[in-house]
Amino acid sequence: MNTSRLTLIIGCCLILMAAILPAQNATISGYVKDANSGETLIGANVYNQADPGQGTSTNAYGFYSLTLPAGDYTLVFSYLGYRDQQTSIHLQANQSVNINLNEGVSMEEVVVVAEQRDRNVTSTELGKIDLPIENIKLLPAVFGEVDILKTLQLLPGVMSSGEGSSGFYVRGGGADQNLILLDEAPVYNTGHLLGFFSVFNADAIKNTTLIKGDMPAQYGGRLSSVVDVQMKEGNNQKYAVDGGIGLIASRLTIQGPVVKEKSSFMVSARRTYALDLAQPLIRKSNFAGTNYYFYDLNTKLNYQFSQKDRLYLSGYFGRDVFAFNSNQSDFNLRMPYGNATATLRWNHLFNDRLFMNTSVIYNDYDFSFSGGQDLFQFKLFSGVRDWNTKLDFDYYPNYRHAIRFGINAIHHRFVPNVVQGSSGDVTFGSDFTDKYGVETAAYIQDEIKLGSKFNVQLGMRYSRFSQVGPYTSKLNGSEYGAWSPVTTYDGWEPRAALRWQLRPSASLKAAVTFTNQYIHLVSNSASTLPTDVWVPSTEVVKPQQGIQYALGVFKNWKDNSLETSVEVYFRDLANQIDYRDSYVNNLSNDVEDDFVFGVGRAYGAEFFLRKSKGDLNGWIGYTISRSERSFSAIEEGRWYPTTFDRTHDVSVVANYRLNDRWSFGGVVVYGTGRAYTPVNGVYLIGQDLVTEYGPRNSSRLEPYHRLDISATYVPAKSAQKRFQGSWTFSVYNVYNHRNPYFTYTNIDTNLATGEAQAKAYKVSIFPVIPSVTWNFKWK
Amino acid sequence: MARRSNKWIIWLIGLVVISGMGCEEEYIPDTIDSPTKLVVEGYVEAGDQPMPAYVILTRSRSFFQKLNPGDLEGSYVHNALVQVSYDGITATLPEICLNELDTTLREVVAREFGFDPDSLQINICVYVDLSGQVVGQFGKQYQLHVEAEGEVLEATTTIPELVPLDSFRFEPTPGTPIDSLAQLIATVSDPADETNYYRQFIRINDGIYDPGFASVSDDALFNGKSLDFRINSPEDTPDDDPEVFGLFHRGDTISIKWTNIDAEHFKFWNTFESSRNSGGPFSSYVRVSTNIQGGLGVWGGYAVAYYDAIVPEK
Repeated sequence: MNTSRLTLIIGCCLILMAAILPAQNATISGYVKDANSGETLIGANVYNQADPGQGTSTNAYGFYSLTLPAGDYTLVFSYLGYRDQQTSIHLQANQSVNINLNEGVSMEEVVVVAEQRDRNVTSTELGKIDLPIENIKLLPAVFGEVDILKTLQLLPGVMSSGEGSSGFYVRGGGADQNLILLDEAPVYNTGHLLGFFSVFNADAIKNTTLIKGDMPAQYGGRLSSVVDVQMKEGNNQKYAVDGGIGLIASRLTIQGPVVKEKSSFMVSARRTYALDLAQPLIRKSNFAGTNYYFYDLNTKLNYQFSQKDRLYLSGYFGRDVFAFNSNQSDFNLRMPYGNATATLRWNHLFNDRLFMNTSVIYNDYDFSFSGGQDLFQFKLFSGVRDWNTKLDFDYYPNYRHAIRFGINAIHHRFVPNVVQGSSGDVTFGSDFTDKYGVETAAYIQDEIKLGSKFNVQLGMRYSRFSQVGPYTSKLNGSEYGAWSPVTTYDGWEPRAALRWQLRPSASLKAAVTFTNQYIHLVSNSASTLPTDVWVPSTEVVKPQQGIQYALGVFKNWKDNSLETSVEVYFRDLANQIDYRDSYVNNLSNDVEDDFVFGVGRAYGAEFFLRKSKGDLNGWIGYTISRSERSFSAIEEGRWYPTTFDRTHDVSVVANYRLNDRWSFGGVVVYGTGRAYTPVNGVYLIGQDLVTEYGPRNSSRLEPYHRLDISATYVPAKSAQKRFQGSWTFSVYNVYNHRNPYFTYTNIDTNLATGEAQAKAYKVSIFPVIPSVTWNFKWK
Repeated sequence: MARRSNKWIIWLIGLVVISGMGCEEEYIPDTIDSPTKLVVEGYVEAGDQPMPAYVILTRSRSFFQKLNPGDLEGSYVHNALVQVSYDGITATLPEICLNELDTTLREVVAREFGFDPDSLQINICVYVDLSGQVVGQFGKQYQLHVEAEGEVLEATTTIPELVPLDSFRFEPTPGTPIDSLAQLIATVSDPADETNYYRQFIRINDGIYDPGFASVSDDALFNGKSLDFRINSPEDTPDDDPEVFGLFHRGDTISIKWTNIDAEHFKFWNTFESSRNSGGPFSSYVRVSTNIQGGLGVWGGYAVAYYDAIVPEK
């Protein structure tokens, strides 16, 4: 080859290299934390002051990575509720910069829902809302128990399943379609006392994120939403104790450093005590041994080995125990149920741009009911147990891309409603065996900044579910050994979201999300019960599938202190499950034998207005929507509304800070009444009149509405004292509106005299309920 | 039996939680203007002293506030063609109204159909196989054909083979014994090779055969086993005093009507009894099933055995 050609080739290669390879770039990375407690800050913004488009935000562990061309910069670190911090960086080689932010001193900064002020406009995610816990605590709560799941139900697009129940429905999807994670561990039953209270003790929680519009590819397995709850890590600088005494339950949280700045722990406990206090009385009566209590215990330990490695161990243990004894008639019953979760996570930094998290998760939900009298003993139990491993990577090649990829695998064990009993020496029971499934997924997603106006988030998730043995097939009797696949389902789940920045304070967002769901909770009642059983997809039950199309306009006003948005969505749901008509739960059948399958659809518009600055702040949310189902086996496929379809749903939430001592909160909710099946008529069987029902869910209860208020009083404290108490007074359902919880009919027939009287009743449970809670902090 | 414990769970949870907080209000529910339907309640029996095959034919009514005797009486449908077929034989059942019978016969017949003749104020009409053309036999299938008021109804039922009670006995009450009362414990040996459905009725002294509030059971939980189970006296329901619920008075004469029924017949009573207990927050409504094509109700076969005893003194 002659030299001139060689020169040409080398010259071309050099030019090509210069075009493809970026100019000399370097990466700044590190962690953003709270200066006082060392808690990492999730979603904190890091950007170039000269060009805010060159920026990124911290991930779920407080880690950020920003790759820019070499040069001098002033970087701004900000997080709502904290004072911005600016740092001058001379960027030549990769460097690690950790930042501690201080909380904003002025009370004007305290807001109802803390969100980066213009984040709702600039972020790509549609329908994602963060709820830091301090702001939830200012809202009124029933019996004084602050509850994150109840607060979520005040947001547009989220409906509750009824008075006092903690089940909820997002954008027209069933209660089982929400992925509720506590430090990455799915929580299967989120309610205490049959659902009146949730299992989340607000004192142990750092942040709650609700994702309902577009689900990033790292989440999967549920169709409607993700509720990602993160526990506090614990103050790694000094000890702190806080807690409270309330009408229903009391709480205590202790946190502190194990090794200052490197390792910390948190232990938080909550327990009811009403019936425990009455035990001395109960012991003397015929009902000795009768008691009801629930408790939650959240524990967390973390250890930072080095700048590159950090280990976290979290655990949650909660239980409801109900016991009833009548000694005179030798009758006893016991109903313990609860969740246990444990998560071990290891964060590892490969380099400044590649962050990895590995988690091993165990979670368990079990329910048991046992009772008996004299010779007869009876026990019913069910549950789910998972072993889960995840590997997640965050890769930040430059400020235009944020790439996430990972894999995960879950082994599920489902214990169906197993009945065991004995009558004297003879035992009887159902011969159901446990069912097993293996759920795996792999995903990759990139959030790309295209120019200064467009952000695109493109992701793909591949998921797979196999029902595995040991199992004997119902269809053909084949036997399967442990781990051997019986049926396998899989699917590709593309996820795409786009944000078009129309103006600095206005944007248009659109998203399309495909999701698959492999495990199901089919409930026969209007509220979710601990007896409801989670079941896997099997040779009989196919996975649920959903597609959501969402579009939203976001605009901020008055220097980002007033946020508004309008979001519309349409969802197509396939392989929905319900019980067949005339279903009666005899506990002796495998529930999946009574399932029927069909389709669903949901659509609606959500309007949201939020004021986040000033002494008066809060939000107004209004949703107009429809959620309906069609099953060929139910009324020949007629489309009927679901029980959680609410045409109109309005929530108004307000907080007002009067002065340093007093602040007030108020909540107004209004919703279209629940759909129910009306009575068509009655007919005679023997001497009884039987109720005949009309088409499913073709009538409505009256609208639901109520007002709650609260007042928080913080007594003056001297600067020296480390102890601070406060009182919260709240009134639930201030004007005592009797919202129907359920309805029933009662028919009295006296055929002999030829008279009959039919009456219908509606029962409401929560009248006006005042309560007082005393909270304290010691730091 | 064991299945009834499911109802215990529901009742207990419901009572404990709701009784503390409930606030109840009567209201007028939405009703729909839809056409009424014909309702069949018919049975054919085989075994001990089988009753003649009979059918009660009524029409459903829209939901009401209060019915007077005239309304109820007006529900009975007259002059219908009611035919039962089996083994190639078809029998037509004539209509008999209680008021047409002489006093003694009226008393006997009223009791047979479960009514107290002295307080019976309305005129009940039944289509009954008086001439005994329909012979009940174990294992046979019986078809029902009804033509009334321009509508046609069809139904089929089977009288299964009889699985009798092995034995029964009276035991002292559980827990602290109450001397004047006793529990009734019965034993049945369930065949393993088939699905069996049972229903029982209890008559106390001169009363009627009363199924109580949870009278049917399938054998899913004890298939192939010989099981002791408690039969509750139909006098009380679980909301009454739980200390004496389901117990019998010593000295009373009781008669157990023990029956076997087929799957559709079981499904009817299963949903019927469940619907009486439903409507709370813990279950949605229960639609009572039917095996009548073109209408509502049940056409059911019974394989019957009677067992009599006097509840012994302590």
